[in-house]
Amino acid sequence: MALLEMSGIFKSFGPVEVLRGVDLALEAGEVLALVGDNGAGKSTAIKHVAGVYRADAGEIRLEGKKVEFDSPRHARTLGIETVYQDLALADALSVGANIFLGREPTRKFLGIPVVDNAKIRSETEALLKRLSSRIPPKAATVAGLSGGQRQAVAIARALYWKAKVVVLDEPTAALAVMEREHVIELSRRLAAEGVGVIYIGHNLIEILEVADRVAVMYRGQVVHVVKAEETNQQELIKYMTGFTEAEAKAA
Amino acid sequence: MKKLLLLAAATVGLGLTAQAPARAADFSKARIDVIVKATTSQYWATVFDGARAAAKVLGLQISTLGATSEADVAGEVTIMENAIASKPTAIVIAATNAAALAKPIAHATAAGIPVIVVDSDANTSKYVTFLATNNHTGGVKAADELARCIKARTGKVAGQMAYLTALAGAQSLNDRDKGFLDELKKYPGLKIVAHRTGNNDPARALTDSEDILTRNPHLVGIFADNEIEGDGAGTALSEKNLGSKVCLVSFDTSSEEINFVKKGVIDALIVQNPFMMGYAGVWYALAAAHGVVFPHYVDSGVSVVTKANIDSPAMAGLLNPKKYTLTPFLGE
Amino acid sequence: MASAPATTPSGPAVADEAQASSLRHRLPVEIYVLGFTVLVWVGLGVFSRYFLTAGNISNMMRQVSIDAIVAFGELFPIILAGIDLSVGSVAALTGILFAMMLAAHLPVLLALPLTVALGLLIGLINGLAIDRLGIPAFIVTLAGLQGFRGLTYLVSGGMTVAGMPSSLDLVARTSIAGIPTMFVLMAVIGLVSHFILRYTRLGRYCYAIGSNAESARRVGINVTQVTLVCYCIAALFAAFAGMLLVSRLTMGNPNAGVGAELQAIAAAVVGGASLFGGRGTILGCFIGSVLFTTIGNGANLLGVSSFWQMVIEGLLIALVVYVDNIQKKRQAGVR
Repeated sequence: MALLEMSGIFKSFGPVEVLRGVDLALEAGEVLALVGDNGAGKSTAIKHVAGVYRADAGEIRLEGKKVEFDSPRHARTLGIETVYQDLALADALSVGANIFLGREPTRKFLGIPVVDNAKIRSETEALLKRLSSRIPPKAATVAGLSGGQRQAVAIARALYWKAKVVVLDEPTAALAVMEREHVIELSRRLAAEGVGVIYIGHNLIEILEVADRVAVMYRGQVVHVVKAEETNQQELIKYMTGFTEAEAKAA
Repeated sequence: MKKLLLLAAATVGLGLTAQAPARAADFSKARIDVIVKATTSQYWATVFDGARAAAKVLGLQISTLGATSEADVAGEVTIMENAIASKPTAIVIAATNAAALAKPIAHATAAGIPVIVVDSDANTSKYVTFLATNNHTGGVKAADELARCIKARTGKVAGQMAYLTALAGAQSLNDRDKGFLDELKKYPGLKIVAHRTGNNDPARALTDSEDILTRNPHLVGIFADNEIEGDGAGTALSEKNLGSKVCLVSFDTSSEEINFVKKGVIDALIVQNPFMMGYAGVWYALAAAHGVVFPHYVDSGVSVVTKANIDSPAMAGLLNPKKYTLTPFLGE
Repeated sequence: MASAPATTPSGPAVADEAQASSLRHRLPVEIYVLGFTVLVWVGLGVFSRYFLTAGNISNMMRQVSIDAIVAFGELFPIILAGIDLSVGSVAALTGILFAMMLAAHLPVLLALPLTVALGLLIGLINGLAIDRLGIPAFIVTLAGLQGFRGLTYLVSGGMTVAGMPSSLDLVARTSIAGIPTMFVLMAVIGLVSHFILRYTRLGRYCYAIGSNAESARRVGINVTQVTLVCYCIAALFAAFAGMLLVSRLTMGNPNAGVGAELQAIAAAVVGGASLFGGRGTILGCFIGSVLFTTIGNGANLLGVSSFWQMVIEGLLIALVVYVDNIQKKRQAGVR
C-alpha cells in the first residue's frame, strides 16, 4: 500500500485544463522527484496534496484511506507538510517561533493561555542538534539566515511535526552549491526517518542524486515513472519534452 | 452699524418701488450663496443663523456653503468657482485666504454677481462691501482688557505676558495678534515672554498653555486669539488653580469659554457679531443686486463680555444666537 | 539520527559564527531612541530650570498618556503591515458622543461601555473592509479619517460640548501615589498590549502576518480573525483616547485628535516599528511618544518657535528611519 496515492486527478481553471488525470504513488521512506517542463502541472498537482486546490475529478488516498482536504491546515493535520519555493518563513520571528508557527505550545498564566517560549526554545535546540544543523538557534529572527538555513528551518518544521509526507517545491532553486548539498542531505534524512518526500526540481543532476524514483510530468499527466539508478538525464529530457514511451525507447 | 442696516433696508425698499412697484417684496426667485470658511464651527454656524434669519424676513433662498476646515483654502476656491457657475443673485463670502480668494471674487463681480465679503477680506477691491469685525480693533481691546485686569489685581500695569495663536497663516488671527501687540506698546510694563502657535488642536492648546505656565511662574496675563486656544488656556489655568492669579482674555464664545467667564477664569471675551454678519450680509447682497451702492467697509463691531455683563440682555444674542432679538426696525 | 552527518555540512562555519554575533550585537532601535531621549532630558534639565520640576514632570506624564494610548493601538495594524489613519477622527467621534451622552446626564458607567462598543464597531468596519473587500488599509482608513471627522462635525454641529460632570475630573486631575491617574491608565493599557504582543498566540500571529501573510495563511493562521482584532484594538484605543481627551479638556471638542494618527505613526516608527510590518514593540511606542512629548515640552519651555519644533520632529523621524535602514543593510551584508 502506497503512503500517498493520487489517481485520475483532473483540474481546470476556467477553460484551461491544467491536470488531465494525474496518477502518482509515493511510498514511505522514499524521495520521489517530480520533474517536468514549466507548465507541465507539477505545482498544480502538489497543491492538491497540500490542500490548496480541490480536484475536479479523481481521488487522493493517504495510507489507503480516501481523503479530501478542505484547507492547507487540514492537510497539515493529516500529516502532509509542504515547503514552498519561497520558503514561507516569517522573517520577523525567530527560528523556534517559525518551527512552531500556528501550533505554539501554550501554558496558563493567570488562567490565560500564553505561548510557552521556554518549551519552544528547548525543543528547537534539540531539533537543530538532531539535524546537525548549523543554524544559530538563538538567532533573533530568521531574517538574517542564508537560503539554505531557511530551507533547513522549513524542513525541520516538517520533521518536528512528524509529517508523513513532505513536499519540497524546488528547494534548491536559489541556493549556493554548498547549500544545495545540505538540502539534498536533509531530504535524504527525512526519507531515512520514514517520511515520504516529494521533491520538485529542475536540475536533473541534483534530481538523480537525491531521488529514489523520478516521475515525469508532461501536459498535465505523469507520463513516466522510473527508478533513479535506471535512468539518466537524456532519457528524462525526452519524456519531459513529450516523447512517448515508445519513441523514447526507440530513440 | 444699526444705522447702516436701516439704510440698507430702506434702500432695498426704495430700489424695489422704483423697479417693480406692483409686487413690493417677492424675492422668492432670488438665491444668495453664503460661503463661510468652515461649516464645522459654532462661529460660522452663527453666521448661517443670521443669514437664514434674513432669508426668512426677505422671503428669498440661500445656500449655505463652505469647506470643512479653515485650513482648506483650495476647497473654498472650488466652492466659490462652483457658486459663480451656478449664477446666484449675489454671493456672501468670508475669505479663508486673502490672496487665494482675490481672483475668484473679482471673477464673480466681472460676471455680474455682486459679492459681499464678510469677516475676512480678500486682496481685491472688486466687490460691493466688506462687512467685518475689525480684528485689529479686537486685538486692541484685548490688550486694554488685560491691562485693566492686571491693574485691578496687582495695582500696577506690569508683568510677564503670553499670547497664543490658534493657526499660522490666517489673516484674521494675524490682525488680532497685531492689534494686541500694537496696543501693548502703550503699556511698557507688560512684557511678552512666550508665544505659541497651535494647529487648532484643543489638546495642543492645553499642553502649550500648561507648559507656558510651568516656564513662566510669574505670568500675569494671557491672550488667546480664538476659542480653541481660549478653552485650552482656561482649562490649564483652572487645572492649576491660577484663575484668580493670571488674567486671561480670549476671542469668541464657546460654551466652555462662557463657563470660564462665569467662574472667573476668563476675565474678558472679545466677541464678534457673526449673526449680524450673516444677517446684514444677506440684506446687503440683495440690495446690491438691485443696484444699491455701499461704502467699501462696514464694521460689524466687537463687544467685550465680562463676568459683570455676561447676563445682561444686550449680550444674550451675542452669546447665544438663538436668543438674538432683532430690533423692531429690522424685524418684519 | 543522533550521529553526525557523513557529508560536508552546509555553509562555512566562520560565516555562521559572524552572523550569529552580528545578530547579538544588533541592538534594537528602541535602545538608541531611549538613549537619545535621555540625552534630551539631560540637556533640557541643564538648559531649563523648570524641566525637572515635579509639576512639569507630572504635566508631561499627563500630556504623553493620550498620545501613547493612540500609538499603542496604531502599533497593531502597523505590525500587520497595515495602517490606521482614522484613529484621530475615531477619537474625536467617540469623544464627542461620549461628551454628548454625559451632557445629556447619562451616567458615566453607561456612556463608557456604549463608547467602547462604538469603538469596536468602527474597528470591525475598518477590518472587514480591509480583509474581506481587499481594499488597502491606507485607503479604507483614509476614508475613515475624513468620514469619521465629518460624522463628528455632523453630530456636534461643529460645536464644543460642555457641561461635563465633575466625576470626570477623577481621571484627568487626580493622582495615584503621586502618579497622574491618566498615566496609570496608559501604563495598564500598555502592559496589556505588551502582554498580548509578546506572550500570546495572537501577538505572535500579528508579527507572522506582518512579515509574511502568505506563510501565515499556509500554516493555518486565521488571518481574517487576527486582522479584525488588530483594527478593533486600534479603534478601541482611539475610543479610550477620545474619552480621556474629554476628561482632560473638560469638554467634547470636534477638533480633538486632529493629526493624532500621524503623531501615533511617528511615535511607533521612531520606537522601532516598520511600516513594512513585522516589527515594533509597545515599549518602543512608549519611548517614541515620550520623545515627542519631550520635544514639544522642551520647545515650549525653551521658547523655541512652534515652527522649529515641527522641523525638529520631522528631522527626527527621518533620522531614525535612516539609522534603522543602515542597520538593516549592514545585517543583510553579512548574509
